[in-house]
Amino acid sequence: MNCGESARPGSPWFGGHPDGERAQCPCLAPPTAWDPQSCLLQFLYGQPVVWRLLCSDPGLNPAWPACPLTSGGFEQNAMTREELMGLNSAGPSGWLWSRRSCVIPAAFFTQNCVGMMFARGLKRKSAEEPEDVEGCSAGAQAMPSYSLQRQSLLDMSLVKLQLCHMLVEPNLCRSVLIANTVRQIQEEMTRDGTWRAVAPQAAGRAPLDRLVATDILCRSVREQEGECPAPDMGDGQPDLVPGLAVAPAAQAPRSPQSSLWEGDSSRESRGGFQKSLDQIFETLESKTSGSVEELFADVDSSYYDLDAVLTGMVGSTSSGPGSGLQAFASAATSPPSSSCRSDLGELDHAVEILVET
Amino acid sequence: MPSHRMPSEADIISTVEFNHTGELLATGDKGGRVVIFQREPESKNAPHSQGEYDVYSTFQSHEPEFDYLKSLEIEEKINKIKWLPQHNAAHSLLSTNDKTIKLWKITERDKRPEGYNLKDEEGKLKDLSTVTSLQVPVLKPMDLMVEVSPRRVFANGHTYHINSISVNSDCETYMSADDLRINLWHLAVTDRSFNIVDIKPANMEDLTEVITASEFHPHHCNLFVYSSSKGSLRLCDMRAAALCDKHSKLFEEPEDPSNRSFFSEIISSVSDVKFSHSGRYMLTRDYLTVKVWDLNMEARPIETYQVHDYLRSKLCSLYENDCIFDKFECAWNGSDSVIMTGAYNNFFRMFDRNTKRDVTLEASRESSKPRAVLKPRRVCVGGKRRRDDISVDSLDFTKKILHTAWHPAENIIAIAATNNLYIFQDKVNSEMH
Repeated sequence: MNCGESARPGSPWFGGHPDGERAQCPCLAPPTAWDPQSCLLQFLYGQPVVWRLLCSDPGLNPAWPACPLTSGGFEQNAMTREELMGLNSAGPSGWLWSRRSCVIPAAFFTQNCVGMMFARGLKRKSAEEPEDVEGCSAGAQAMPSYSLQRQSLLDMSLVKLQLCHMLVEPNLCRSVLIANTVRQIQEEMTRDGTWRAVAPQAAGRAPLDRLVATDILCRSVREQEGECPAPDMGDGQPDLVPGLAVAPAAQAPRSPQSSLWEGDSSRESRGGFQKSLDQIFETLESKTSGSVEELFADVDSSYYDLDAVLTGMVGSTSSGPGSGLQAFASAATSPPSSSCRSDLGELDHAVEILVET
Repeated sequence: MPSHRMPSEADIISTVEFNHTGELLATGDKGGRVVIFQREPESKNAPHSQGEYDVYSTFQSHEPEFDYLKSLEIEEKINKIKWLPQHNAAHSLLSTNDKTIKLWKITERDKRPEGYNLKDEEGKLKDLSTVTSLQVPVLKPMDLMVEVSPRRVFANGHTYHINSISVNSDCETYMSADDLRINLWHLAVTDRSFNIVDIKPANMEDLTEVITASEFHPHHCNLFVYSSSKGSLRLCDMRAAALCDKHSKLFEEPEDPSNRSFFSEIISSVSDVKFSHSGRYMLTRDYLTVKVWDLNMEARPIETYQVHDYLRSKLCSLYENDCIFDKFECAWNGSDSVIMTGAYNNFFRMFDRNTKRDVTLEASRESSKPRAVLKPRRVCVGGKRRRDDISVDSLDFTKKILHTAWHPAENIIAIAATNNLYIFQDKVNSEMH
């Protein structure tokens, strides 16, 4: 879809709006940067998929002109997984709707997908043979599925590390094992060259680590309050570290951690990635009440939002696209300041969700 | 094997340990309490009815504490209990939580003196004018009273969480291991300990391996072993150096490249290590297997037994719900011919090293009535499914048997299933099937 065109039914950007309106692509200059915390909630096979995008220009004004389609929230998207994966090739001029009524180039979604939720045992709708893996809704092709699984595993591991940061008594053995897993993934992605770019669709990656796709909870939807430093994408090729940027929202007073996320190039990002593990271990080693508070300061009610969404979604997959979305929208319309401390109860929510089988 | 159910504990049992004769069985729980069971002596009327275990004593070993410096709560959960060899009428045990080890002395009192000259039966001073003659107080039997008193508190020795303690065969020293360090204590000295292993890197950023378990050799008081999260075992000799960072022997099995995955390291982490009674072998437990190592062969274990290999394809889910970090213990029987370990769904497994047969049994109220023979269970992984088989997907991962113990001489086992303790006895020496 080109800039200025209207989306037609059947195109990835036509969302099945209850009023049957067509998506209108506002003719805006393709952004080099956008709201770092903007997210798009997609529904794939009836399950929510949260996509988070990265901002390359912190000065971007997120107040894009509202589109009639996005008033109130997300649209249920009928894209197949292949289409979702193929968005990258759609070209930078395509637009997708964000929940904050700002548009995001479709090109960036595949590169920055932070996680997908697969329903248990859900069969793929593709004609290809599914992988024979227990409870797995395997991806379209084996190769992209592997990199997506790996990405999901990485995200899950980082969330686990973060969560154990927040626990009263972090289990050092567990943290070390998770951190080593993260390092392994990082090393492999560096070797594959996927550290900087999207994984190539080519076949022939001989030693395929056997990973089992499973329910992987993606990162929570974050509310951006403007002060988060956005990693500069530079060449527009996002890498993993910005994927980590959801974690602690770096605020000015917390300089040791804020510097962590300001990686410009992927090389610096890798250093930042390494630093993130260091930060975690240092905090584990000498926990001060100050750092614990800093960690808690990150958690806002966006965790709760996700919980609201999930309870809304999972229970009513057959309901119209509007109801669940409205639930999400209403939860999202009252974003707290990210400097507010969240309740431990909400943390418990998040922990429960993340460790639930 | 017939079974005998014990009353359920209020809290989750976190450790189980027989003493050296098997007469006493100690359990620790998450609430910091220790419950000691004693085996009743065999009844003469029914010589085949071997003694059963009844509660002997209960006491609060550790209380929750707060570390003000780090703003962290210190859990009172008892991580390990180890009995000291008995030298007199009293029994002694070491119990530890994450930070502090305590030595408890358990004594019995079954007699009390009566006939004091100056005090009456209730202890009140007598009116001296009523005392006309002197008498010698005599000891009269009374109801058995078990008294437990803390004799030593070994505190402030560990920065990280204590995962194991082990009493030396010299009966004078013991060691305590946390994630990064192992300390040697003298049982009589509480204000200092010697650090004998320290694997903490100069930069915590470089930390990739932690200590997971450790144990003294049963006969050689200078040898001990510790296991790591990377699946290696290090046998150390305290005579070689004061700081045993350099191992005498390193036991490590090379990784199987065909089974490699992102979870390979996690599942290779050793959760428990136990010397055999003979002192010739070591038993280790990692997430999916138990392995027997010969002290003379460092290259690989001499035996490997699959505990629940059907979980290999589910590692990602188990990683997600944290079950992959569960630490299962393992145990030898008295003759070192059978090894035992726990699994999920309240199953536990036994492997006969001689016949190479194994059995899966379940510890639950539903599946075993008192005095009933335990029925072997089977987990089916697809293919033919027999009746009573459990499918892998219906396993309950919240019911895990992490702590098991085997009587030092007889076929009596103690199984901790969450907050229930099961004690199974083998009345007839039946074969494993």
